[in-house]
Amino acid sequence: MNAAALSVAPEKPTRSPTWESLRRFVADRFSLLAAIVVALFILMAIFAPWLAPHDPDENDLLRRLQPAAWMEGGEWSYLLGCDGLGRDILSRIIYGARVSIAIGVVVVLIATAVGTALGLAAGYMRGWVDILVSRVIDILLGFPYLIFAIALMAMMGPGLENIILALVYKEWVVPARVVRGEVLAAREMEYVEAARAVGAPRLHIMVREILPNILSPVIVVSTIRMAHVIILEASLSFLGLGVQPPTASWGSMVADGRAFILDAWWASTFPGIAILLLVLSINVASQGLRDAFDPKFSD
Amino acid sequence: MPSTRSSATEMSAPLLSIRGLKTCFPTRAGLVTAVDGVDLDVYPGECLGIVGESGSGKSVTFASVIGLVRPPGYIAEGAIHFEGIDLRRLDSEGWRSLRGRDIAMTMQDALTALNPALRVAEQIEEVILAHAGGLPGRGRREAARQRAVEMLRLVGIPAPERRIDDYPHQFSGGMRQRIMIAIALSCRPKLLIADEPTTALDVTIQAQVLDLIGDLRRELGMSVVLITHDLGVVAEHTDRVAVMYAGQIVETGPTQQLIEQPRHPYTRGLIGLIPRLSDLDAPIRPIEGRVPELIDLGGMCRFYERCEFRQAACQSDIPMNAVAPGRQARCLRVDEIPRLKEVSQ
Amino acid sequence: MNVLALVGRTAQLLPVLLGVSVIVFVMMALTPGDPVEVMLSGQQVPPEQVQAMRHDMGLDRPPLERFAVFLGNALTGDFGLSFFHRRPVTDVIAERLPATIELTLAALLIALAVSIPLGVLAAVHKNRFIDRLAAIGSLFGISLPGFWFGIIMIMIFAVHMQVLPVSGRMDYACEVAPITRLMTIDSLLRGRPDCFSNALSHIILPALTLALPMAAVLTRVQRAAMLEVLRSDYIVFAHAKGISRRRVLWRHALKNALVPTVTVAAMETGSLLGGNMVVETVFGWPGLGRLVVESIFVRNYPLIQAAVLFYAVTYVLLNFVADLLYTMLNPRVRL
Repeated sequence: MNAAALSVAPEKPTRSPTWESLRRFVADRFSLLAAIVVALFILMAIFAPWLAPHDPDENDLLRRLQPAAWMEGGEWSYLLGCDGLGRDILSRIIYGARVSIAIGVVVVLIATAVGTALGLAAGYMRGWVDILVSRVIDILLGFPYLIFAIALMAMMGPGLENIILALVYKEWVVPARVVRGEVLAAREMEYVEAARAVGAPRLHIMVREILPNILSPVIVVSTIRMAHVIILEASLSFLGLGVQPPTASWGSMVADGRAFILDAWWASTFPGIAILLLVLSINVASQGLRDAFDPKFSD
Repeated sequence: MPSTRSSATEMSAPLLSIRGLKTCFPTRAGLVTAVDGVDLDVYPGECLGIVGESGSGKSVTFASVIGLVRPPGYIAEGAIHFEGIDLRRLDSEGWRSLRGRDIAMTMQDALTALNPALRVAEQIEEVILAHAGGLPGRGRREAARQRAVEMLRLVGIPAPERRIDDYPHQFSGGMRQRIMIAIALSCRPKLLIADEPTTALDVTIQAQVLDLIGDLRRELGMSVVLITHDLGVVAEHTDRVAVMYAGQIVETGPTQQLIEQPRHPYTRGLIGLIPRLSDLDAPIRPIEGRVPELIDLGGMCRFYERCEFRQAACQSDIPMNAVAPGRQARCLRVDEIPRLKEVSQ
Repeated sequence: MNVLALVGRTAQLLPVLLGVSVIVFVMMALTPGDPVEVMLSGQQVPPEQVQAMRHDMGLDRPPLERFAVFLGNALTGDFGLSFFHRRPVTDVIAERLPATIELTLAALLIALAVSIPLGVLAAVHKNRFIDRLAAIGSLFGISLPGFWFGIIMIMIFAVHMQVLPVSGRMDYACEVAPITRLMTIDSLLRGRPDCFSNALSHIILPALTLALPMAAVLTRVQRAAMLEVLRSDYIVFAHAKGISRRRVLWRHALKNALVPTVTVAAMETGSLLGGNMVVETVFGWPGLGRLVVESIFVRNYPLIQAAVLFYAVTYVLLNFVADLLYTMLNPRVRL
């Protein structure tokens, strides 16, 4: 090799693959549709006060267990019927999206930030940092997720912040493991070695060189986890350990409706469909995202 | 050692006959024609060498013969006859009873070709049982086991009665290769397709395995197709050779003649790659350039870009040109090639 | 696999188990509200008596000492009295455990029975109808909230069609003397087919609900493993041997492709423990999961603590078993 070849820094992966991936994602109709559904849910959550036809917390015992609009005894102004306290189910579903989406987004954002930082530190600095982080990960992996969250909720008591905390305490492990693995691989790559060779500071290498190149798997994993977190929150709320009444949450709506499965199937069916639809769409969209970013997965 | 029957065998009817074979693989980049118009005959009892670089289509040609082209690849055109049977019309049961019994195959690396999760005994016995229509119903398993042990002994596995119950990973590389050969030959096939039988092995074991195949060929009276990228192996172990390049056969002929006087520039290049004992200091001259992408080729000689002797006329489809009885080369300048000096570099 | 290596691997579990118990201890130690006050729940008791109770329970000792006592007790299976039942926690848990084990095993069985053939067929018929169906099915499997799916099942099969019971484990009419304490098996062992079908009708819906997400995951794992195996040389070689296609698929390919599935199944069984809480609550299944959920609302902390530790230890051990299974099924991996 001659001197000229040595002086040229090895080429860093450029940004264009990301655009290529996004183009592939958009080309995948099915995933795109799912992404649109997710976007609609988010809009629904944001604009809930304008979209909801009724006050979600307004009791009306005259409308107790009123059936859905197309059934006998239904009214079109109460499209999906009313629950055991006569509250409009559609309005509660619209408001319930706020809880599900807020918790899903916030938990995954915090967990991804924390997990990425710890995974980056563990993977790049190795040594005692790695040992410490890896041990904590091992121990947290020793708990089934839902049980860990339930135990924490039992201890901390219900409430929005507590749910978020209870989920984040374990959720960060997922991105941390992904990032640590990617960093271990990236450390040996030429662009990192080149940066090290020119004496770039450690923090600079971690944040400016490695991080941008491992972001796509992190993003893909985060979106998949969002679906998981939403189901966990709904499960906690269903068990009565989540958001407290009267705040509408899909999980607790299903739980409330459970008392009326004999004569009012709609009370627990519709909120469940909302969970299913959102989670399904997130899963489809994130699978599409994964395939788009990494075509070798596509079989 | 090569037998000298090539001139005699060409009189008899071929065991295997391939005409106009074309095998394609759809890819993201386009339709790859891995094998493009191959004509080839294999005669009873002969050892035919197929030489070419990886990607020349030599393995795909014979994967097509045995009906095991990996999906999404498929045979697009051509005829393949084995003992007069049209293989392209075979149904799945027809294939099943043909494979292993009439045509057998060994693969490049026995480590990946043997099932890691099954004992060697099962892997040999199942072939014998699959083709043992004649064996008596009772005692079939014992008979199969007996035969399996014999096969292992035949290929030179020490203490076969004991080792037959081991797993493949418990054997050395050379032993595994022998086991694979034992499996392939356990039903005494008429044709053995040996795909790079020695590439995965050390040089010393290579010769042993090739000699083993040669001995068994004579003993069982079968034909062998030896697929390799190593012309040295071909020179020592085959009767006849077909050289493949970019999905086509570019030269065929009796081994000795072809090596002594190659008629295609590519063959000439390959021969330059064989280290000669007599002249170890002579520089090995690699062929410049690389095999073209096998997409939308046509309209010119496929070796054109790399050829030292190219002419304007080479920018057309080149047919096979007869050189001598049983010898052909896909070059316009077949008659001049032996006389031409290399272009000095 | 030799004994020494097994001992070595088992030893690696110890730090994780210790860490898990630290977390469980800390979780409960940080719980707001003094356990004594919770126990007394507002009754008027003289302060010196409260002090005596605190001393009895060791709550006045330093944290590290308390942890040592907790660990020592845990190792001897002593988790104290259940506030609610006024009986040793271990007894209460042991009483509820068979129901949970039965449900978990049934779910595991269903998940394997569905996912292995489905995963294999999906891989063999890649991109064809059955593959798409399996993909859509597993997508729903991971997206369906279990508690809701359970309720829908109840509405369809118990309320609407009235072919299956709404909840419970067995009708009172059926009384089978316990052997394994798994009702389906006991009723068979005691020669009571009527009770067996009764137990079966009770377990089918909860087991199905619990199995669904696991079956979804396992189908994907099985399919991916099978696709990988089908690409390998030994499958081509097996075909070249002229053995039947069925044998190539279900013997040569599956024997290899089962390794990841079985491994993941062992790990996922740990996740079923979490799913149990929800499913047992929905179906009124008298198992440990429902007991824990009920205990939370009555603040029965000793029981929660013991149950969480139990779950975590089981989970760690299941992962360990998964590891061992992987080694044992895979002759190439040497321990």
